[in-house]
Amino acid sequence: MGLLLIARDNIRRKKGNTFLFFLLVALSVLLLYVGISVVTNIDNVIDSRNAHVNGADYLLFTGSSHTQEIAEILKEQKETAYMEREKALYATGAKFYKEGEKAADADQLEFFFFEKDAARKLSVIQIIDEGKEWNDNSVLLPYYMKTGMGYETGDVLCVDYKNQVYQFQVYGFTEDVMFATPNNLPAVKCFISADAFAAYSDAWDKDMAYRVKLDKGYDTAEFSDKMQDVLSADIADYQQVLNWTLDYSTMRTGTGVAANIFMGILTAFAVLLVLISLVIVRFNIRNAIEMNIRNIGMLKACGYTGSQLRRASMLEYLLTGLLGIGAGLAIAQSASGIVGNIISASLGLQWDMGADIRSAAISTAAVMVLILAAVYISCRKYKKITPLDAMRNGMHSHNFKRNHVPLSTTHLPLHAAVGMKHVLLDRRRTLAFGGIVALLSFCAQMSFGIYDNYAVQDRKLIEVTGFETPDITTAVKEADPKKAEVLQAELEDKLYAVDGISHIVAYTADDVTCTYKGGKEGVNCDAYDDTEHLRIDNVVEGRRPKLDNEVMLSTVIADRLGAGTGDVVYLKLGGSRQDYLVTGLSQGMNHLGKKAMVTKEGFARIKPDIVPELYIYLDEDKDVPSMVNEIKGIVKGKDVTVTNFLDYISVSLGSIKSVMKVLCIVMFGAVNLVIALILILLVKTQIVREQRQLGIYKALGCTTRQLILQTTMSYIPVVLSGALFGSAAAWFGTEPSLILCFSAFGIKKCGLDMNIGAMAAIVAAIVLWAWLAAVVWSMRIRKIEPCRMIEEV
Amino acid sequence: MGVILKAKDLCKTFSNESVQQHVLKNLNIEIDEGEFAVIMGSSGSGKSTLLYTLSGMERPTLGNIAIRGEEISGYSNDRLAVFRRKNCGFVFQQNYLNDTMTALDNIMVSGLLLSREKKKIAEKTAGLFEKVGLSRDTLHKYPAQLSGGEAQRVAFVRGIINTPSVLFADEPTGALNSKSASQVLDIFTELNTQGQTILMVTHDMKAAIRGSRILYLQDGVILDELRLGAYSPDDDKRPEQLRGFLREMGW
Repeated sequence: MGLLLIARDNIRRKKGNTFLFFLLVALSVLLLYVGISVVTNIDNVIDSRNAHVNGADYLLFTGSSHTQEIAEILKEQKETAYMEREKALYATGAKFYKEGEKAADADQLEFFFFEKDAARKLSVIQIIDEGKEWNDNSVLLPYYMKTGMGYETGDVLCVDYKNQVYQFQVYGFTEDVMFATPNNLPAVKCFISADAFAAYSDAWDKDMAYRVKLDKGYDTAEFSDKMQDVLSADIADYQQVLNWTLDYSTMRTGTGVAANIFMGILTAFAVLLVLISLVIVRFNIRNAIEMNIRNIGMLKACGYTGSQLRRASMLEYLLTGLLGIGAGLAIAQSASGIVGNIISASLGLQWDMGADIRSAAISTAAVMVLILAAVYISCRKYKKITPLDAMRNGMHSHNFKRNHVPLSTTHLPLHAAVGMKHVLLDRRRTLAFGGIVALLSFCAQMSFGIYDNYAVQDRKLIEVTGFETPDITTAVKEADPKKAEVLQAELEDKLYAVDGISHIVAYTADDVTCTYKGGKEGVNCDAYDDTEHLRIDNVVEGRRPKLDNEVMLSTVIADRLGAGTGDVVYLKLGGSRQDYLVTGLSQGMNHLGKKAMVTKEGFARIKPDIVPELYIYLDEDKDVPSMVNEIKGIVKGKDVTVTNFLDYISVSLGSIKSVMKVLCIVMFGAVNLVIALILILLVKTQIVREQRQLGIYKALGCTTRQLILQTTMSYIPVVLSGALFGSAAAWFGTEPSLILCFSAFGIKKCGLDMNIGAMAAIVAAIVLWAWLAAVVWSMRIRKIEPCRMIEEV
Repeated sequence: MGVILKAKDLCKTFSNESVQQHVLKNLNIEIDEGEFAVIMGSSGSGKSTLLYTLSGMERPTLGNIAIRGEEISGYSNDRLAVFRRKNCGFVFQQNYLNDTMTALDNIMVSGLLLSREKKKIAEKTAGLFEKVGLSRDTLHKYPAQLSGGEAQRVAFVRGIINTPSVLFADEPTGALNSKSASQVLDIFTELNTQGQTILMVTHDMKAAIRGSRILYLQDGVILDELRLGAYSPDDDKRPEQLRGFLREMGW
């Protein structure tokens, strides 16, 4: 009971400090809980959303030939528990926009249309935000179009395909892990009415979707690899009819990647805040001992032991810490809707997780144990205090070190010089505070750097994901390879005659199997007819392939297979298997980093009949949209799609960008909040501790403004130095830190450009904010009356 | 010699919730230039309040105060601060030196409020140190390295570094042993003989005897005063005169 009384008295005595500590703990726990709960539950949530719609394990899209054959083959596999097929309409590179918005700003993605009322048992429809009435022009959209693109039930979606605009009214939204976000698969899966489906069947491409549910225990990725071989072997022109294959485990991993990375960064930031809280605990305790030395002496004289006083402090921080933790968890719970929306925007699935007891327990235990350990260690001083020393105020530790800023010779103005004396006097405090500001500045600069590079500049994000970035792409939609080849050749000739086109590269890609010394990996293999003139700079070792027997592997695949530059690996597609010499290693997050690159001729060794897309690169000063229109004019009347590539790809990365933006704002806000909190704590403590001295200065003739300047000058140089040091660390450290975050994808370089102007602005913002906090809190000096500070004995 | 400090109808009332305490009641006082005035009185008579009100550290509730003819009772806090740095020097019972600064820096803090000529202030400080019997080494020592008497002499130098119109001293020897107290009082006397106006609050007879004029304060008003003239250590009648006056006042 005695200890509780002491603890309560301590809390009451330093209400302000206690409140700041409480806030910091609440903020740390809030971020820690959110980070841990998302990272540890993301797979479960994805699984539960998949179970909710009875999602397929394997999905295959083909053209409309061999449908019966393919269905039979899929059904007879030993792994298959159930298989169904369904007709779909396919609109490659369709542009879309909300009615009322500018058609010129339209986004571009692949569209798959299904008939809403078709019979299906897998990937069934569960409507979110269902509208009142289903009409012939109603459409069900994927959920990410609500969370990531802002569509609402009742909005009108305009789809511009082959120069005709189709309008649909949004009836609601659906979830499907396979089509959860465009950053995983740049395609929109929609459901329309039977009438609309029938009406548009002639205008759009026809596809067949096969959905397979496997028996439990089978790996979906392995099944997908197996089916690639089986179908290629059994159907002669399988590679020509194949459009897409997707498997659940790969798509699940891809869906959660962005959220996992961002929440990992958030968790790391939360851990940093916890560490800052520990520094604050130490500072508070040291300070409390210094300022309450007489009371401590009195308590010791009454018979309290050092251990009892330590336990009282532990009780005090236990109570405040638990309150802070409770508040943090309560805020997290009440803000779960906002957090859920952010995660949903990244996942494209509903984040329906309730209270996560396990994550709450982990956050609480981690924060509490660390705080109590810090209190225990910081309270060691209690044992050294003797009652007599304490009551005589005898714990002095005079500083007789060199006078670093002698006022008689310094060039600094008086109050700046006195402020600097403070900075140099308590070096531990200065170093701790400077270190904290440096760490926080590092976080702010890093988050802004990531945002600036990846969310503002599309090309950077696209490069790190591993996509080549032409300006425009064209794809011949002719099913007959021979006719397609002729059409392609004609198109290429015409394009080379267009003014403003720098060069054209033919491109194709397919999923192949790569083997090396008994190891086997499924990879997505890109093929270019000219690997010299690509824009992407993703080679991390060696060079790109030049000859038809050369291949460049991604670092992920090279690591998994144990292969390196100079080794010979085998690529297999269908029944065709060829050897290739590894000439280099590349990086990229695309296809979870499982990539390879060969020349067009090299690719033809395993897939002879290919009709590549054309990647068109413009001269630097050319306007892409107007060139797209010009090329569309050239191909008018032909079955060729023309796509503004950056528009197309940036839509698919939109959800990553929005999460980055939120992360950047959260980090920057938290950094400034924490700096202000710490500064308030320090200024407040200084004013209380030096109250008398400030009073004497006033008596001597210092104005309040001068004393505020003097006080702020005790901190601003530290904030400035810390912010500069943290920024310098961010200049050099952001790229390595990001590489570490993306290491699972074998990323070895991110090509970040830190914007020096923006960095300077962030430093200025931090210093200005800190200065403001210090000035506002130093205003308390106004209340100090000189004659109240004078003590009579 | 003219009047350097004048207070008219001075009232000071402290209010605490419903309780009002009238500490100074319509008090009138004039201090001549070069005078060494001493305020005496029993505990709680309002001595320190009078000193701090006259020096502009405390605002009067009513009445006027003028130093060198400048009316200060209506000044804002900051204007008072600027006024104090030019016209008022202070020596308190405690030395109130900043522990984290050397003796020289403690004085520079005060000196630099009025002048930017650091070298001149440092030289003046060194000269004053010599005058008050402090060695040059003391300049670079921290307060904790000084004896009580030395620290109080440093505080004294801080009080006069800006050559104030009036030096206000509140029990300047109260925390010193008799030897140190005597040394400090000698400095006051010497400074006064050089023309420095001093207003000192004390309840110490040995300190009060140095004054040229003794004002006795009781219940917020000046009950009476005794003019002693300039101090001379050989003046045997002086202590008796003071004792008699104080006896009369009920001391």
